[in-house]
Amino acid sequence: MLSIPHNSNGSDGLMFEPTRRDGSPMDRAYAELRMRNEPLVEITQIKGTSEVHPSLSPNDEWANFEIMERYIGGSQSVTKFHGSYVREALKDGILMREKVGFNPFKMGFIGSSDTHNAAPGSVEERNYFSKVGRSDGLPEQRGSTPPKGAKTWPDDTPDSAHALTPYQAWGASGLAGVWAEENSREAIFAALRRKETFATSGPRIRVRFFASYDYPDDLAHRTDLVHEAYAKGVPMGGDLAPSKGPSSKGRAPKFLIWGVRDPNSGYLQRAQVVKGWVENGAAREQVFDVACSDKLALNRTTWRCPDNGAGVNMATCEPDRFKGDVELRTLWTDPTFKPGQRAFYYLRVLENPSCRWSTWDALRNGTPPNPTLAKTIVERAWSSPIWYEPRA
Amino acid sequence: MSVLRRIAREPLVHFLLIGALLFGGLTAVKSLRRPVVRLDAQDLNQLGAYWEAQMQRPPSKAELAGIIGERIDEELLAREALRLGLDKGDMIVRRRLAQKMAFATDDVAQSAEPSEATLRADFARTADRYAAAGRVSFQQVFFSGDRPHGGAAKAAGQALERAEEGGRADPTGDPFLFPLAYDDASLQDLLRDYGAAFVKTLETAPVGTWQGPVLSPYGWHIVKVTARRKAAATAFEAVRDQVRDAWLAERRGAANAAFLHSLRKRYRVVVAGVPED
Repeated sequence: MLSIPHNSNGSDGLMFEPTRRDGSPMDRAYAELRMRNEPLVEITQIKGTSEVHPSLSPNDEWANFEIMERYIGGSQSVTKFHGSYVREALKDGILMREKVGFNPFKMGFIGSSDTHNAAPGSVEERNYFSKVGRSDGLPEQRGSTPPKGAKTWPDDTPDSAHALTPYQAWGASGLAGVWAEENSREAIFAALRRKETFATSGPRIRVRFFASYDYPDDLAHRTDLVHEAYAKGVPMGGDLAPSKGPSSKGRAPKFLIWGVRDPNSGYLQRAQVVKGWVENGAAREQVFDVACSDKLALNRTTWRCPDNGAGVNMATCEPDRFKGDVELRTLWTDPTFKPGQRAFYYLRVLENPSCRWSTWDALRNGTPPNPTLAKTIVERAWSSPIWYEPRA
Repeated sequence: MSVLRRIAREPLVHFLLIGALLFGGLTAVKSLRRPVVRLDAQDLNQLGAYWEAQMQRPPSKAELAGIIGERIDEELLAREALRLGLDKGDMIVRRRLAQKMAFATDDVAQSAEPSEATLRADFARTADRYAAAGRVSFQQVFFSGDRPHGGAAKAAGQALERAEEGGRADPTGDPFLFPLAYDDASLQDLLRDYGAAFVKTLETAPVGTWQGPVLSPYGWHIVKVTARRKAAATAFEAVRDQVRDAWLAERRGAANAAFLHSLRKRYRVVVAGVPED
């Protein structure tokens, strides 16, 4: 048995609070119980994405993705973002491990749609057809076309924080991916248990993520790379122990990064590694671009790819042709690695921009998109983290 | 003596005695009329069976006492809630009742077994629902569309030439996230992962030779189909039970719709002051 908590973004800081629910401190037994029961967390779904909030990670330019700042099933605003978002919880977790010796937030990722309309899916932007059925089944009900069949938007159109219903802030999001040996209940459940899982915001992007000290430098170009990756390293969801042996002692880990596009969705623009670590008693984070599309050169000072310039034709929602890559595949060594610093790493792969579902609704209706909503989004996939555990 | 007699004649004493008798009598009557929570042998068997189904062993004596205690507590709370009218205006209670009513009409609508002729006619009408997808086994070598200057198509073409000469593919391809060999894979699944053009090739390519280059959303491939099973119409006998279930479900759906329709005739529906017709 395992349970997967969801919609931490709507918990107003409760989901990952640093104490037990009654305010008493956590202990090792509690942390172990929690990790036994809840090894995974939902990082994205229709009612918003819970990876990261822009106010928590101001240096992550892609943090502002399908953010929903309301209570679930109510109109009350969320005010406490710390404790509601997964990346922050992972950071709190490694900090607790460092300070008190246990980590209650060592979670792998999945995505899901959470539809309540008896139809799975509803995760494609161009084919989003509601989450709850009767109350958001029509574009007008979900705020993507003007009220009462009008052709234009009134000047006082409320933004998502003030709209009467939460539906316009919802995103067409959420699939779970699992790396299992075979398509059987046992194999899939075992993969969930060991957190060899990933999440996407809807497209069937496939991601692979491995770490080792011993990968050959040409691993990403070898046809037996998956076999080698398993044989010599750990997959997503796993623990990386300190390096041992004369050849690798103190060396930085190498990460095999691999993302492949969904043939029915956009091309990929960049692959990123999100790192969290403990330094001088505080948890820090950095987002590293590690693979760029279109043969663009990675800036290894800022760790950013240049913009590949991909755009969307807003009259048709057609993306630009010949921008972005089918796959992003590389071997990356962490340049900031310190053997004594506890850390986690996860992969995030970004698509080129594409029309948001609300823009598709407007296009089909022949009216302008809701001026308070984002017109395009950047679809993405997240691997479960790999944790570097310096001491047993 | 005279004191006792005087007390016996005192009206206050009569009053108290009669009061005490009445009180005792009424209490006795009331306790006889106390509502009874009764669990019979059948209930106990069911409780035991539920427990056993979950735990895969019979309950111990202490566990049994606990289950019975819980069941009684639940009954007491439920009875008291009903007495206080807590079921009124409760969404969950309403939903459950509606659900039960729907189940009940389902049962009532249980139609007679359809005849063989009916089922065959129904199958003839819906045969495409039961057709099995085509399946294919193949090997492939992949050349990534990310190779510069259209290099993938050229490399794939060269690889194909070599494969045609040598009879087997050389390992010049790029790493690929999907399998390089498929065994009896459904064309429907392949369509989702590779797109229509690629699947068309798999459906039509001659068996046993390297073919291509074929374009997919990922790049260029050369493929060798090793076995193929065509999409096949399924025989009625193989799916008889499914046809029967579908027929019954359709009947049930129609009966439920008719029942709801009749309810709308028996009730007047008024929404926000406006009667529906």
